[in-house]
Amino acid sequence: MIRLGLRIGVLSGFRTTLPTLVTAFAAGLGTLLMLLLLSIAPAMHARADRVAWMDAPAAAATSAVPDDATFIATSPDYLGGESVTVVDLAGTGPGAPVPPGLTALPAVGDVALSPALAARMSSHPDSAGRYGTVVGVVGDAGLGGPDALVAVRGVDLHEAMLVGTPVQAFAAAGEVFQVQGMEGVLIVVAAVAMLVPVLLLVTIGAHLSARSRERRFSTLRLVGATRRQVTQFAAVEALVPGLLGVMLGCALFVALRPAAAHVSYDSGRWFVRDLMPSTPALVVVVVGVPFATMIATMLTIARAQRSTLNTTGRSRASHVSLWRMLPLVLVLPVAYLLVSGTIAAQVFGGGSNRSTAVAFALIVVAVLFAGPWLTQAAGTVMARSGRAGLLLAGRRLTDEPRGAFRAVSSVVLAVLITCLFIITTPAVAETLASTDGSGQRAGTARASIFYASPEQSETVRRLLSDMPGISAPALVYEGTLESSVGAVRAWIGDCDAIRQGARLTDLPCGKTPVLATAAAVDTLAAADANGGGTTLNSVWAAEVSSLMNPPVGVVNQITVPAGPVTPIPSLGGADMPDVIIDPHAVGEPLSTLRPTLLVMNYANDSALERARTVVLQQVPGAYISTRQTAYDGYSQDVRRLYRIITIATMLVFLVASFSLAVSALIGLVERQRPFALMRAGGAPLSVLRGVVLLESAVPLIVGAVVATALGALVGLWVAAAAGGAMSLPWVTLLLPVGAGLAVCLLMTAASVPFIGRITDGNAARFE
Amino acid sequence: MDDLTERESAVRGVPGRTTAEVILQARDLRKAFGQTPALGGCNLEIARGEIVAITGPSGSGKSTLLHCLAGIMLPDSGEVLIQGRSLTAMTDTERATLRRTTFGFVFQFGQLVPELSVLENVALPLLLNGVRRREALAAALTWVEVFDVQDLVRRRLGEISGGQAQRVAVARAMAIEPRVIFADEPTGSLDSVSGALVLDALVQAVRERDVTVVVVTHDRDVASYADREILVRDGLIASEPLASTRVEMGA
Repeated sequence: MIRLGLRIGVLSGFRTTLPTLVTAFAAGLGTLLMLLLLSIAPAMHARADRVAWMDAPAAAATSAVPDDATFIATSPDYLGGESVTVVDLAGTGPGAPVPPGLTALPAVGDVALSPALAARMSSHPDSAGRYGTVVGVVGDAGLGGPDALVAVRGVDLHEAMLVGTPVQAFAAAGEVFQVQGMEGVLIVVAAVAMLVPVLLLVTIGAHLSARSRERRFSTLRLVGATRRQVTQFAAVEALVPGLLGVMLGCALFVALRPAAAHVSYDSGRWFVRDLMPSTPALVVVVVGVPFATMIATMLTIARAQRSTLNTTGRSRASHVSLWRMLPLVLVLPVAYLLVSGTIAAQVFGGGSNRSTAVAFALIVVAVLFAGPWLTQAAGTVMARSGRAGLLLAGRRLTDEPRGAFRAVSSVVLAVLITCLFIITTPAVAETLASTDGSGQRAGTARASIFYASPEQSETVRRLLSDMPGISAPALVYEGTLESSVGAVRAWIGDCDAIRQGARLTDLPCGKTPVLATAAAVDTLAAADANGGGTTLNSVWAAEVSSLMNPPVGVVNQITVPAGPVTPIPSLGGADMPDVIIDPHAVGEPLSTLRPTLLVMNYANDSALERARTVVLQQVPGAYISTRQTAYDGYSQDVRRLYRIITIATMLVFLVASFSLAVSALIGLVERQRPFALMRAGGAPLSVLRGVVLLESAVPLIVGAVVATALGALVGLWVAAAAGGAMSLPWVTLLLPVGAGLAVCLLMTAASVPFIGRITDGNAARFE
Repeated sequence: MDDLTERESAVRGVPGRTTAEVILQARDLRKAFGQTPALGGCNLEIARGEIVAITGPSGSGKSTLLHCLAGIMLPDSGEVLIQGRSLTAMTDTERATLRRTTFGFVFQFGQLVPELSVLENVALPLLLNGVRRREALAAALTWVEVFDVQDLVRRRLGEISGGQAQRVAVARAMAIEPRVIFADEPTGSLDSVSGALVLDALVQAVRERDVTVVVVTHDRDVASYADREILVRDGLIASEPLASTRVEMGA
């Protein structure tokens, strides 16, 4: 029975093979996408586990040195603009634990590099020797991915104890970052948007095959097959494409896994072997996809059997009402109030991300609801035209506006998401840069040297001042000024040196020993209420004590004598001072403190890399930041979100374009006879081609225009609510949307060459 | 087609004419589908205004002959001349233009576009020829009246009977005022009464306008409308019986 079912259902010619192939292709695409999506969580966990050893638990400050422990401290660095994780290790005994990826702890002055960092350093000669003598390679077991830039160096135990945390066993399980709020909503939306076209493809394949099956099953019943036998035939037929699809999907997954490993939301490539769904998930996909395909196909066949009488002729069009536009009109003001925060604050307690997600979801639903009416309206305009091609395509759109729009709905969704994010992301990033971000001037670098003694600091400063490409290095003592009015940041250092080193060209040096921004003047006055001067907290003692962990506990206080203050404009950013104090005003007590900051100018990237190398060689745990690296940290979340959305929308465009191409092809196969007879009657091939293209392109373009407009509008609202500029980045907006649409149209056009073949003389001859 | 070379030739079997203008001519047409021969060397001439029935058993090659004569299909060898001009020497575009402007087609079923109304279906060939919409619909309205389907102009394919659909198809074939109508089993899916209605309307219309009709059929009743019957058997023209007595029956 199964063999007979296979013979008559699957192997009986092009018209029955095509639906099988389409359904199998759809199931294959679905399997591939599901396997990829289901691989993400295991890969994220595997990555988190691999790097878990670097996250040592914070330990309380202790003077006790545990036996057989390893002190670990991590600090960030940059090489050629890429983030490097520097891990300092020192063992306290022969049984000190060794992190994964290494066979032994590096000796003092030695370093093991990840392969990617080793390669990168070899192309940046200015970084030679930055982390110590390279003695080995960090293995995959200790790295998040093949592109991870990690340096694991051995340091003096005293130095390690100064900076690090002791561990007696490295953690093996890490924590995956939690997807929350809008990010989570969008990932779900993107996943759904990816699977929808696949479901659509399965439905299209099933629908197509229902036509040919109807007649065949009637014939089988006529020659005496029982209903049960016919059901068995149908089940066999429906199962075959699902099984073929799973095989195709698994093969594609294996083939594309190395390429998919390049697509990541944050720190570079995945290890290919990490991209593997869990066994239960794998079983669910392998069993579930054929089963789901079979159910979908059989449901379609059952529906087709019920409507046998009206499958070829068409009596009335299934028009959609103008009411479909109402939600779209209503949802716009609601979305505006949600995004701008008026309702958001009341309903969501000011949670703007959630309210933006709700607004976006409302708009998506409204657009998907209004789409068929817009398609119908476009079709009506086309059908009024005097041109045969426009009439034929327009009438088909007005007849089946829901079906026509359904085929393009996932593309419309992709356009909507893309537009929203293209507009929102730069605005948010710009906002971050201008408000919470770095106030550091371009072309300046600042080395945080908490653990350097005053002598070490001076040595570094001297080395840097002799270095070509580096100029005006200046040492700064950082402190905090607190009063009943608030807390402000203070820098103690030579005003002229700071002006040059940090490029604060507007500083009016030389007038008074103390310079303060308008905000800080009040704090100074409040702190100096009794006229005895101002006390600065959190300045650092000159002596670099061992075992001060966490280090921020060891601070000194100094008093700045009362006196006149020169007002200065705000220097901006969370990393800039509000008060600048001349060292002479502090006097002798300065000798009890140590500088913690070194500001300098750099002429080019090469000089910057040389400066990093010198500072890291001299000072344990030092960190050099520039405007770019500060911004890098601030905008990390935004960029991660942007990458996820970009990947998701690219996939949606890709899958949706496949779905479009197939639905165009199937629309053609369904109308093979009228098209072939029209061609026999002399209809030019170009007209028939135009009809097929217009049927897909018009709803696509109409939907895309509406989606672009709405996505841009919501994006502008979000940007405005976040305090960003209300300008529309036309080029960055239209380029990806245009490229995505072009791909979709090209895929649709891929069905055009078939038109000539399936409408030639032979097509008119048979039937 | 005004620049076509007009040729005169004696054609037997057309009542009331000793000589007539030959509109369609086939010379040694041969066609095979894979290893299966369909036409084995057919020669025939058809005059202006003549109604010719091509008959024969199933698989004899009669539809292939019609498709070759109409330029839908190219013969493997041999030649088809329309008013003296070689159809086989034309480009695909030229043949398509010829079919659109000079020929009308009626098939057994499936030729009406389901999305279009009856009137739009009749106007479709005119629209394809670049006629303005208003004029095309006005002309179509004339033809639906000729074939008595004017009450159905707003209906779709699913809302009319098979007989009505075939009359709409004939009206559509006539809408471009063709020189030749090719009909392939035009009443094959109809009962005898509906079939007779379709053929009566067709014959009356073509007689008034001196249009040539080439009809493929295996139905004796349909063949009886023809001036001449060409019997095809095994890809060869087996006979060309005279049909002078039948003309009066059909006219």
